[in-house]
Amino acid sequence: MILSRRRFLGLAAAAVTTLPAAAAAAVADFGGRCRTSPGALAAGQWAMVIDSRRLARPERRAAVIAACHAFHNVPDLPGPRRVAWIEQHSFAETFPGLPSAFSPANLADRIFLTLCNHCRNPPCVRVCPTGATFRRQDGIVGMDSHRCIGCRYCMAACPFGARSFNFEDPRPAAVNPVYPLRERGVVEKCTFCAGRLSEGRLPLCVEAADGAIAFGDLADPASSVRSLLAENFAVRRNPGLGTEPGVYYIL
Amino acid sequence: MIYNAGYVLPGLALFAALVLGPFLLAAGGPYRPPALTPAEKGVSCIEERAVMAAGHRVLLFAWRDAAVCRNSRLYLASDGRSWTVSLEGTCLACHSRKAGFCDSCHAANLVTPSCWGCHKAPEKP
Repeated sequence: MILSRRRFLGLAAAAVTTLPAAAAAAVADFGGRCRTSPGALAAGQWAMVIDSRRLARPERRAAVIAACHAFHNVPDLPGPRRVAWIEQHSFAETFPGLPSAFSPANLADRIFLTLCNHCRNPPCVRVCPTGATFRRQDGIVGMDSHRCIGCRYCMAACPFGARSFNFEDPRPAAVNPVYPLRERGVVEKCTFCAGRLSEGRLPLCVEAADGAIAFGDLADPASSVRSLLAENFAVRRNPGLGTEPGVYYIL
Repeated sequence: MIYNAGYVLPGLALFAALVLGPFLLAAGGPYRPPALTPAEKGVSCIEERAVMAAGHRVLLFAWRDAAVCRNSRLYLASDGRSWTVSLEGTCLACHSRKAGFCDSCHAANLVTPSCWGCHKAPEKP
């Protein structure tokens, strides 16, 4: 049998359109069988309110950082290769432009916990070329290490320095086997404990802060964060940049 | 007629023998699946054995996207049971012997998955 060119092209077009669909149908739809956990905490916009007055003592901040970094296998590396999900910064570093020469001493000397702000308008998400970092419906800026190619655009885009790059293999730091590590060459950051939220539990830093850090839904007027923000004057880091940070600080 | 056929043709034959030799020598022999260390707990796997053997890669990729990107961390298996979408918490809790389970089959099939670069492999031998 000799195919005419017209018939050959027609068959080829038909094969190209039908074969992928047939191949997809042959594989079970495992992803379609995945559901949101019934006990998961949900929100319209997750946010955090940090009462910096109650975290003035260094050991309280250290306990918060240790709880996060120990669970998430964050390595303890010195110098510019350090990796951190929560860090400590001075008043001037945390809130550039806010202090003056006459700021109260208790503020000027205070150290603040800094972490990913889970911005409503995250510049890191906009520049990520692979979709490895993304903004979820509930406001969490997620990080998919599987897709990260280590280009570090997100680190350049983040105005808060909330992201760390793995310049070396963090593997000796592994102590908690239930949480995966990262590999050399990927960026990591705070995830607002997305996995714990899906189990119905609050983030580790919130538990370790013993009430000094509130976590809740900004979209819910009855939430703990909304009532805290209604009763206290709270500031966000560098709000003039327009990223709409989701972490508030009571000074 | 080929120029220098006396050199070219044996050379081609030698090249073909070198390239195809490994395949030809192994051809016809039956594929023996490596013996796998049985799972730790006495429960059957989340899906049928044949489905898991052929499609665990697809399942793990689907789980990865569901848990990390869509926050869907509950898997409803076709037999009605539900499982937490977690490599460490669900898969490796049962298949706790990586060398005997994962590695033996991957080695026999020359597969080098990148899972273990980040996910903690079970320590048990």
